[in-house]
Amino acid sequence: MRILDIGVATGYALLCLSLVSVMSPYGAGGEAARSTSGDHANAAAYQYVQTVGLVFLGEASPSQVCLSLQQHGNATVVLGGVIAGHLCPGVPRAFEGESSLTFILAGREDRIEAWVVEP
Amino acid sequence: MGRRAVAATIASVVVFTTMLLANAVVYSAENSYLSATTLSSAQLQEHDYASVLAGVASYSSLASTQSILQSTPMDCSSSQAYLDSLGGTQDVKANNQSIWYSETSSWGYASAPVSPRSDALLPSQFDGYTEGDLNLQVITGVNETFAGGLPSYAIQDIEVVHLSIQPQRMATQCLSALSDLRSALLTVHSCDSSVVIRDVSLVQARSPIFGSFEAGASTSTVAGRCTVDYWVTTTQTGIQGVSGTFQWTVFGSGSLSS
Repeated sequence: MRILDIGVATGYALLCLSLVSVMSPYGAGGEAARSTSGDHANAAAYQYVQTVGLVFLGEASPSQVCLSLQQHGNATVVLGGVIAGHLCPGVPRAFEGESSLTFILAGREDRIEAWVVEP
Repeated sequence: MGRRAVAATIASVVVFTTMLLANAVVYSAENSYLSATTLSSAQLQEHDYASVLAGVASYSSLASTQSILQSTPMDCSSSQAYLDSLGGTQDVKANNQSIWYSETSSWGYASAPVSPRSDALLPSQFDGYTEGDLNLQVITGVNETFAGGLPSYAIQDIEVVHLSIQPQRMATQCLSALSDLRSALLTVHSCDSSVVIRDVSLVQARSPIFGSFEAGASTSTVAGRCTVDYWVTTTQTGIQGVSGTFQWTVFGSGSLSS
């Protein structure tokens, strides 16, 4: 009787612990943090387009746009992109969030990308 | 001893069940927070991207108009038809990251003042309505969905942009010069080309109406009838457009037979 009792209690405890580990709230918290970093990256990409303007992006050469992207980055946000098929250097290896804006100007496809990185 | 074991088992079940329920509550709350964060993030992305699409539509209207102005001179006797022909449309369906969108824009010459919202992505030299300039009203409709589902976002954006040329003033000046030239040529009773050209030069030199317009004429005689073809023309160069500088020509012409 005692052994059965201990067995049932142990089994129930293990079941509860496995459910707790499966329903861990920490995963959702991490996802939310990544989503917030994605918001920062999105805001950075939009802010860049707003700062330099569409006329600059339509007229400048790919290398000029790449240089401008590098200059507008900071310690926590790296800016890059693909301008008319030309990949700008400086893509970070690790990042917490990313975002991109793709549009066609003067027949040329530009993709402005932003990554939020740890300082 | 048996009672104790049962009591311990019940206590264990109560403790673990409470722990499980507490975890489920936190888990559910975190998931709700994550859903809200994801939804909010998607809405922000859609909102920002719609602004970019509206700006690109305005830019495209200016680039298209600049191209027409550069390649097609304006006949001042039909300036309204010319200005109406500057209108255009653009339809785009594509996706950016997880945003699927369709964008429809149309633009046309805006003759009357309108005061819609300004475009943050275009410099002030092209943005907004400027009296007398070539103003274009751009209407852009954007429909977005996140990966084909919710949240969806739709806007109807109206913007006015302009290029620094004065089509109505140029048309009026052109018609005045043309009328002045016609009046002067009516008094010339020679079909000699050199005489007519000399008189045209004299008229142009003494009349301030011509402004930047150059005048010219040629004569021809068919079946004993003299026909004088005359014209005025001007070309503005170095006009600033969204695709660099460009030039624009305005002309008017007429003929007299005697």
